[in-house]
Amino acid sequence: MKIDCAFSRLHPLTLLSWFAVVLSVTVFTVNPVFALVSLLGAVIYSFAGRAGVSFPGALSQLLFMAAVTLINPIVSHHGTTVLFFLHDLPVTLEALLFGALMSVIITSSIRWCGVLSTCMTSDKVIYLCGRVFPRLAVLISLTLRFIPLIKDRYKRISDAQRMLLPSSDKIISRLRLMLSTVSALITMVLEESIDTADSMRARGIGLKCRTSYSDFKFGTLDLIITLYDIIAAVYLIVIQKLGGTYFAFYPRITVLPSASSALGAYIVFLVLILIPTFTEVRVWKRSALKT
Amino acid sequence: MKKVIAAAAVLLSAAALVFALNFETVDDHYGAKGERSSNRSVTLYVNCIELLDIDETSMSSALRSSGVIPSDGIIIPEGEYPLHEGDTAFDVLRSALNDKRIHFDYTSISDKSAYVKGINNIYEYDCGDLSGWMYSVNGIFPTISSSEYVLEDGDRIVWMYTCDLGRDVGDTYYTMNGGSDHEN
Repeated sequence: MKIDCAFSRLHPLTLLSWFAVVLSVTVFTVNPVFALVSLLGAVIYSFAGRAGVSFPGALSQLLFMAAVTLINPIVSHHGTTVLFFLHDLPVTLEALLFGALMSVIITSSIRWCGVLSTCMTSDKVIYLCGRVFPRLAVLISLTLRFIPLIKDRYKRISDAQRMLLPSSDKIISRLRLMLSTVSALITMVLEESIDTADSMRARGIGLKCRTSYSDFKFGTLDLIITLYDIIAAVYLIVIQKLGGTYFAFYPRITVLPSASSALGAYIVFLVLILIPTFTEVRVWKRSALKT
Repeated sequence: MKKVIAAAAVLLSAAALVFALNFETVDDHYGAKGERSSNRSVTLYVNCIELLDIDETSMSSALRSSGVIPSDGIIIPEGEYPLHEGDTAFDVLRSALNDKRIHFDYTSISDKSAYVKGINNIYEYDCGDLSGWMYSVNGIFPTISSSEYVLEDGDRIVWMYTCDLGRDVGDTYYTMNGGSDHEN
C-alpha cells in the first residue's frame, strides 16, 4: 500500500540517516527527555502526515503504556522510596517511574517504526542496497517478483487440474490433486527461472559497467536534512560520552537540573524530531500559496 | 471497543490478584511483630567492605554518588539476635533488616531456595559480573541456600558483598585448588 506523503518523497539516504539517528537515540539513551520528545514528535506527526501503520487507537496505546508502567514495580524492587510492600518485597517509586519511561520508549519506537515501514518502500530498499550489496538487491527484487507470480500460477494450475481430475471428497484423490498441481507448478517455475536467467544475462546483470535506473533526486532539502542528521548524531554522541544526558533511576533518581547541561542536546533532538512534520507543513504552505 | 473493555478488565483483575497477595504499608511491614524472646541467640554482621576500595570504572556512578554505600562499609554492625526454633540464616537476616528498616530484595521460589539479590540497594552485579552477596557461618561458606541452613545457638553469621566470586572475602570454592566442599 503506497502512501505518498511529503516525508516519504525525500531521498532514501536522507530517510535512512534520519531514522537511524532518531531510533538509536530513542532506544539507547535511557533518558526521559529524549523519550518524551520522541513520543511527542510521533504523535504530532500522526496528525500532520498520512504515513504510519494504523496502530490500534490512542486508548489501546495508553492501556499498553499503563500495563508496562505497572508491571515494572512488580518485577523490580530497586529504589530508595518505598511506597508499600507486596508479598514482603518493596514496591518503589523509582521502579514505577522507570516503568513509565520504558513504556514511553517502547510506544514511541513502535510509532516511528510504523512510519518507517510506510516510508521505506521496497524500491527504496533495493536502491539503498544496490550500491553497497548488489547481490542482496538482486535477491530482494527476485523474491518480490516471484512470490506473487507463483501464487497466481498455483491458482491457475489447480483450477485446471480440478477440471481434469474427477472430483471426489476422498482424501486420496485430494492428495493426488495437490501432488499433480505441485509437480506442474515446480516444472513451470523451473522453466521460468531458466528464461529469467537468460534474460538477466542478456540485460547485463552482474557486469561491472551496469547502471540501474532510479528516479530519486537528491535535492537541497535532502542535503540540508542529511547534513543536520550527521551533525546531530555526532553532537549527541559526544554529549552522551561526556555524560551530560546521564540519567539513572536506581538507587536514586537523577535530579533533572543537574542534567540540564545537555540542554543543547535536547533542543537539537527536538528540531530533529520535528523534521517530518516540517516537510508536511511546508507542502501545505506551498499549496495554500497557489490557491 | 469490546476489546478495550476486556483488556481493562483483565488488567484490573490482575492488579486485584497482585494486591490480594500480602499488601502491606511501610509501617505495617517494619512494625514490631511481637518480639518473641528466646534464650538462644546468634551473632549477625552485614557489611560491604569490599566495595570501599573498588576502582572507579567497575561501579556505576549512580551507585557511588547515591549514598547507599556506608562510609565504613558496615550495614549492620556485629550484634546478637534472638534465635528461634528452626530459624535459618535467611530468617535471621530478614528479621534483622526489618528491625533496622533497611531495604532488602530477594527471590524465593520455595521455602528452601531464597536468593538474596540486594541489601540496602546494593545489588548483585553492581560491581561487575563476579559480584554479589555471600554468607558465612562460623567462618565457613556453606554451599546451600541461606534459607536451607538451620542455625545453632551461638553461631556467627557474616553477610558480605564480594566483587570477585567470593575469592576476595575468603571463600576458596572457586580457587585453583578448590575448597574442602568441592567434592560434594
